[in-house]
Amino acid sequence: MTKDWLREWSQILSAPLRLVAASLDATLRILGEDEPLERSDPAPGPKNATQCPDGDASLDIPVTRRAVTLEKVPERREAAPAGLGAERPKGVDGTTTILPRSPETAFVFWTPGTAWMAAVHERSGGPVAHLGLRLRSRGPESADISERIEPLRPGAEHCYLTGLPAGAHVEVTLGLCDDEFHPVNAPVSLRMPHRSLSRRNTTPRWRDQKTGRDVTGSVSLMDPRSISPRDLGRNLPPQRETTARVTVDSPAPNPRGVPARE
Amino acid sequence: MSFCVPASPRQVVFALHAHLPWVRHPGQEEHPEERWLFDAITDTYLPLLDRLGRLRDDGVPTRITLSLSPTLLGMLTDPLLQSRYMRHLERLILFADSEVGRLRHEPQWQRLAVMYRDTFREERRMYADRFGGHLVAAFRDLAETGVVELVATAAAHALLPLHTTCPEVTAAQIDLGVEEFQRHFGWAPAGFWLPECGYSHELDAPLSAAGIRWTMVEGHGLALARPAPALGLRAPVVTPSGLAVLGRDRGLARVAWSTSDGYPGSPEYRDFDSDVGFELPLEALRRILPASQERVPTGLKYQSLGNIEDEPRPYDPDQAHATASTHARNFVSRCAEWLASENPPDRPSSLVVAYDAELFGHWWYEGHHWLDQVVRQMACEQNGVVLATPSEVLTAAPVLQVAEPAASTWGEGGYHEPWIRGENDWLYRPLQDAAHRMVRLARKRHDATSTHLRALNQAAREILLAQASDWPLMMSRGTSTEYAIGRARGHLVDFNAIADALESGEIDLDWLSEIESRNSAFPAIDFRVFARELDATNKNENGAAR
Repeated sequence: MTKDWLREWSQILSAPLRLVAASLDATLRILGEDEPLERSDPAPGPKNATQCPDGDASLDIPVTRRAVTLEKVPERREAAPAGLGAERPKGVDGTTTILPRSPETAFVFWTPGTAWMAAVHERSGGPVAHLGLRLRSRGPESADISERIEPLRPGAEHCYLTGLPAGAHVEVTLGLCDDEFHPVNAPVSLRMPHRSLSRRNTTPRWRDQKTGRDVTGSVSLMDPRSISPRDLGRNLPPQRETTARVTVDSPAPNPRGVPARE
Repeated sequence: MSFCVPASPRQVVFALHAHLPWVRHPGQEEHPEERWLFDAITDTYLPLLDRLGRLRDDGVPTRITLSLSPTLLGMLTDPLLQSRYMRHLERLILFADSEVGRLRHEPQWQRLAVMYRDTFREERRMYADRFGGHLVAAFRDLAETGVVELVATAAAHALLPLHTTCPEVTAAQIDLGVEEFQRHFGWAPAGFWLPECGYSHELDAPLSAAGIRWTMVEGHGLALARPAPALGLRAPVVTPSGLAVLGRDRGLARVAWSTSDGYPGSPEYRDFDSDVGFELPLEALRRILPASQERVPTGLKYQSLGNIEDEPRPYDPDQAHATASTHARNFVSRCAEWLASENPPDRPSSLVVAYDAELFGHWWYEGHHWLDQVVRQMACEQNGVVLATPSEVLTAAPVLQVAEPAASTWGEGGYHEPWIRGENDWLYRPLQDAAHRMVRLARKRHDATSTHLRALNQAAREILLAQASDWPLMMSRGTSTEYAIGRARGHLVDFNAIADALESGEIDLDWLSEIESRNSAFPAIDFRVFARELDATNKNENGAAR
């Protein structure tokens, strides 16, 4: 009982110090310091963690139940060159951004903010806490497709999500993971680009450009069969698995010439 | 109720997109990247103006759709770059003249040096005497006589779908692009070229709000529209917000673009890579190389693509032009086939082909002759296929299907991979931070005057220039990588330094003047373009205001 009481009070008393340390560390980053105040050994990650989504096998996280340290979590291993992010969020929750890369992949990055660091720190005295992205996706017809949590390596500030359902709404939330997922940032969502030609029997709507009104009832002009699968097919980009073999369809890249775009 | 559309000719929309990133370095007497502009003027813009003018003078019905990016317009009208271009052209003429002398004992090569010398002389006459250095006015003249339909594009060529997380940025790129168009040409554009053909549904509202009537997407963006377009790529669709969208056919674009299985790879054509700037001893190049004596392309290329086993084959302009004419006939025939296949004769049908303007003349030397022949042969054929502008296509098809195109680009893979890769993805976080910071500054200091106004306008220039799609693409392709990184980073550093100065209230006027002189794009910019009220539909879930 006494030990429990002591442990609880020592945590309460040390919390403000930890927050001060977090703020100081964040301030140093604002000023462009690359190194934190002090370093600990690389923080081990969660059990059941898998390879980082960006595919770097060296980032396999050992299975050890140990706390995430303050010094490790906010490390900016792959941040932008110094001086570009002069304004870091101060005292506000971070933000998460998801950008579509292809119908099945997205690029996600986040700015944790000091509140996020404090939240990580508060949890560091407890069971395993690590960073993850919760991913929810819904199909074009609002049908739930999947929900999963992507583990992230400590200190990561961006990742690529793969295997997303083309055309779906994808929602990601940054959070802390142990047995449960604790959101840190508000969820952000994105509609992924389409990939497949699903020809549903929807009735086309037609609009008169002069009046701006919908016009209905014409079948003589528009025959849905007139769409050419050949034309559409040849315009589809290559499937994901073949993308790597596709070469840029342009004159050979040449640093000597005017930049070519397509 | 029923309706019918009158029988209409089959229309081909031939679109060219002319763009260069802002490459102006007043602090250096000679900067290698400024040659991008000079090469593009020499190889592409002057020959294009000349060809289109000749077509008009010959009475050939010509309808070309042409977008000129605001950064390019700014450089073409910049007095410093105009004078530097004249100096460059004079040097080219002197160098070509020296080549005529050097090759006096090798007539099969010397005649090419003579060709270049005469071409450069003619271009000097065109640039200085015929157009008075005002190429933008020359393009405006072509538009006023109906030869081209000029089209607006984003202010600094941002790949807009990657910036919709900050809708104010998207709106600023679009609005300023339209304003720059009006400043240069004097009227409001009907069409808008999306940089990299990059489309996503979030762009409908800001484009419509800017008064844009139509835009273009890559073919699969239209093919994958929801609901599926009943007429495929053969007719535009209209988005729910009223924006007409045309789909570019990738297959037909490819035949005039690909060096592997398209026309430009034919052995009769000039070899782009065989430039004497990389082949002659440095001593022979002293008239044309920059002061640094760094090897650069001169534009004098003597070999054709048909070299046999490393034996240089002299370029034969007559043979190449004959091949280009044959390829033009083939292209016209393919267009007619495309428009006729699976399409009843009484139904209107349109085909959109679009290219980088710099393909013609610069990358594909014979491209202008090919284009000239396409226009002339299309006018001669009696098969009902005509060139048309998108505005004419929309007039001929007053009733359009309502559909929402899919997100797409014309880049490798069809989406955003070339702009989001390990080589360039670091750029997006500082870009987004800076964008939100710019919006906050613009809102907070809406009534700024004097020095603060100048600083805010310069901050707006810097963030816009940092967003150019050119920089991540160069990083991705490994072409001019260091320059691209330096430019993107430099604009962001400038932006953050100006924002810091504004917030501290200490602005060094000499320092500000230096940055203004260095990055003087968009001279009429008003930073409040980042603080305009956005329509509610102009915000997506990802872009909630902070």
